[in-house]
Amino acid sequence: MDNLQKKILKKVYKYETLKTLGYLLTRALAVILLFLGMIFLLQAIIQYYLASQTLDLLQLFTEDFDTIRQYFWDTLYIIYIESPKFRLTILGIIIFLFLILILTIVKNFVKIKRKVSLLIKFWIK
Amino acid sequence: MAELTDKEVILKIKNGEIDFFSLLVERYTRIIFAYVRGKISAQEDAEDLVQNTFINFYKAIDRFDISRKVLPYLYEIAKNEMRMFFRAKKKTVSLDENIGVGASETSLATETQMEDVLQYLSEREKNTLKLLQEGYSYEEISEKMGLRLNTIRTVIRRARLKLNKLDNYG
Repeated sequence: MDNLQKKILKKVYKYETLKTLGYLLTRALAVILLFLGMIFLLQAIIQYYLASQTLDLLQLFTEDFDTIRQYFWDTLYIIYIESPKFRLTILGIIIFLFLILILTIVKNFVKIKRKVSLLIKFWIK
Repeated sequence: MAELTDKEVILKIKNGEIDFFSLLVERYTRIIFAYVRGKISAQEDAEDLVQNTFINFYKAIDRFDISRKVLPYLYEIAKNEMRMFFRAKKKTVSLDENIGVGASETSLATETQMEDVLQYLSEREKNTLKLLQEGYSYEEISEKMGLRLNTIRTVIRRARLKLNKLDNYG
């Protein structure tokens, strides 16, 4: 019976090892891909703004308060009009997914850390 | 560690303390093995089924409702495993399948009985049934014997009817 119990536990640990490795790899890959996507899009958006000189409009904020108040909404509207909306939407989605992913990783961190240490302990004993 | 209830153990496993699963394995392996062994005589098959039962239980543990008792759940998994085991076994012994004639499951139980009754069949019927018993499909038998598929079907049907009659009278 001891032998059977050992066999069962070995199979269970094997299954859990593969599952945990799969979890860690997919999460790591997703974090890397989303992060790279974010950087790539951010760079493209900044380049677009620089090329269209839209960011020069922000110089408004170096003016005195009355001027800022007078032109604030107009400036904001122009920035909105000149923005690359599609790229910004994609960036927003990527940032949202990235945050969700980070939150779930943080939430499960203790559990996964515990599992990983137990798995290592089982396989090296 | 040993005083923990099943509920506490499962909560711990759900929280990532997977080493506590060994407690459940210790508690229930003997019981589940005895249950499976009661239905399956081969030691190796029974052990495989017990292993599958516990692995399936572990796979489902995240969804497991802790208000439920563990043992009945394990019995349920073991029962399903056995059902699949018998189904898989049945597939390899084609003569047990009742194709159209509704022969009873208990009929012609042993090979010796089979040998006895085969003498009442024609050579072609015998050969066909033997190939069927070896696990060949109708198509393969038809190719092997160089006969049309429908002919093979008819031969098998007639042979089964004969065997069924013999079984009813004998």
